[in-house]
Amino acid sequence: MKSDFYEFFCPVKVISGKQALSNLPHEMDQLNVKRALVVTDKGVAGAGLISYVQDAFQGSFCEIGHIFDETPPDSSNMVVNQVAELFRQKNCDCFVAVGGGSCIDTAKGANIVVTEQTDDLMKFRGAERLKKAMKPLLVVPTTAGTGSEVTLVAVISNVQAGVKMAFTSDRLYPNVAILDPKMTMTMPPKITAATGMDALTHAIEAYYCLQKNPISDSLAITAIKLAMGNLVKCVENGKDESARLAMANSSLIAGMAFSNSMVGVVHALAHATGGVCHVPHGVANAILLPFGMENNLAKKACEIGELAPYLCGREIQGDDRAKAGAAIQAVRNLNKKLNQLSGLPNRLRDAGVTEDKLEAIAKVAVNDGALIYNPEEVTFEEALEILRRAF
Amino acid sequence: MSSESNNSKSAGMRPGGVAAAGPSAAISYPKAQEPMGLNRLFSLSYPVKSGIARVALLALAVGFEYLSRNCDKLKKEISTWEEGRVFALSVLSKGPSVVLRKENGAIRYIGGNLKDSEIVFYFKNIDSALMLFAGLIGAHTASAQHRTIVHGDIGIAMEVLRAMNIAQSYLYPGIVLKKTFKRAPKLSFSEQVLKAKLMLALLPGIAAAAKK
Ligand SMILES: NC(=O)c1ccc[n+]([C@@H]2O[C@H](COP(=O)([O-])OP(=O)(O)OC[C@H]3O[C@@H](n4cnc5c(N)ncnc54)[C@H](O)[C@@H]3O)[C@@H](O)[C@H]2O)c1
Ligand SMILES: [Fe+2]
Repeated sequence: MKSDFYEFFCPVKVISGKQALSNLPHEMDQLNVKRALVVTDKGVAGAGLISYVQDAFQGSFCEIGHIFDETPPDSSNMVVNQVAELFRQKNCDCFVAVGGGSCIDTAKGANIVVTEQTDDLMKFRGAERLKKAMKPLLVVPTTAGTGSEVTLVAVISNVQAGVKMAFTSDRLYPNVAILDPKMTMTMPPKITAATGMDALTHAIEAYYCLQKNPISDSLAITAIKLAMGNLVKCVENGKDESARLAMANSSLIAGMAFSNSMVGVVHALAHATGGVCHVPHGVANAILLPFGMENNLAKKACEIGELAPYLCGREIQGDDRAKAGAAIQAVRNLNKKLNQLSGLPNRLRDAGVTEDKLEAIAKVAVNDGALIYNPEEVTFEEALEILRRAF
Repeated sequence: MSSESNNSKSAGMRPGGVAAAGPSAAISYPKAQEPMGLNRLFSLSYPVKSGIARVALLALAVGFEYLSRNCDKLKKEISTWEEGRVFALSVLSKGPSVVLRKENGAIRYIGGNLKDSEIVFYFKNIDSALMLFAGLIGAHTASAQHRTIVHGDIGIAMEVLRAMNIAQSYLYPGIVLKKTFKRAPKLSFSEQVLKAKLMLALLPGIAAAAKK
């Protein structure tokens, strides 16, 4: 719980529960906006979830100006520029993101382009460089993983360079996050498992990375408890409404935690694996999480050990190392279980990564900003070694 | 407990602990403690602190220039950078800045104008800059504590940070490196000699750079 100095910020209104989606027009009204650009993707629209959003607008003065459903996985700088152009053309006054991290981050990126009145997102790369008040952004997550509905980050692929870019700013926090269990119930088991492991990774990395603080610590532990109690249930039975709502909360709470304590080597490697080999973010995190925890054992055995009771579901006897070892084993056991239930890959080779790509991934990973917050120093050689072990 | 409440009554305190106005309200509050050791830095006046930060930034710039020509580790690190890359360190809002550019394979200090910088590492205020320069915190801690921010491509910033870490390992004594680096660098004998040579070159270098 060492925290010599920290900042904590989360200005997002959260509405969580059954039929929470019906509150969307009222929240728009509160923000003094009327015409939404809905940002979604084909999978979400194909699952029939956009019709729920359209239904929510009935009987209100607010309307949908346009529905953009072409968001690609991991978004892209080009698509973000295109969405911003649509926002202007269709005279919209707010963004409503309905989808997983890819849709939410596309809306965040387009919001930068619209607000800064630029034609190119790339001019705003970096941290804390947005000063103007952004257009209102309301988020309805349909995966339970990224927590992007409460984070200051937008992760967007630079397609030409094969890297994922991170934009961070206090201005990037959405205004409202709406968690409605019916919006995640259609997620297939494998996506449920992968995105759930993203949430768990956020919580675990938040708990031992360098910006950890007393507030993010308590959020991380709550998120871990919810994930350990509900992720397997959601994968086994996607229609379990209360488990779905609990996982949505786990993801959101983990997002609040990591947005203020940041993530480390697991995310640095996962971003690079996504950028180079297009492995879904949650899948890469699930595979790399135990190896990333091991990487930090020398410095953070105590913190990782503190998570053992929540990850193992019981008190663990022994010293910090023994407890941390049990925590890491619990993550491996969970991965194994999710593999049996949904086919979630447990090794990089099973996720479409070929051995000749490992060096390229390590090279990209050492330039990922998340590494700054990893307690242990990670060189190119060490990143490659972690990848080899996870291969 | 009872004596406390008596005291507060006699001192004209309301139950909430706020002193009532009026002549009877004179309370003697304890004085803020005098800062000790390096913490005295922070109680200096702004112009003095800004002057110290400027000298420290110039030392980093001069160190960077010298090492980019003489240190194999740094030469290797910057070998993949494109020619003409410009990066800077600056103290917000009115503090000093140094701008460096890769030219002919080495790093050159080009003044304090941020206009052409691809990457700028900003300290949010002068005290945050001094904490780093005085060796109280390392670059990663400054980042984790939100004391610094980066403008520009994070990937490029990470490359510059690695180079900056190499430069710092020659500028600070080992005891500071142990405290401020995630993994303190170990300098070989020849690197120690290089460090000594850099120390000798530093003062004249700073004096020359200050004229730019
Ligand atoms: N901004 C942040 O704070 C943050 C944090 C972590 C990750 N990310 C980024 O988010 C992206 C990943 O987001 P994600 O994991 O949510 O996946 P995603 O948004 O890419 O969605 C994955 C797939 O699931 C489908 N899908 C989503 N919800 C569904 C539902 N309810 N029913 C049926 N299908 C559904 C989508 O159509 C898509 O095909 C990555 O680019 C990652 O880097 C951002
Ligand atoms: Fe993530």
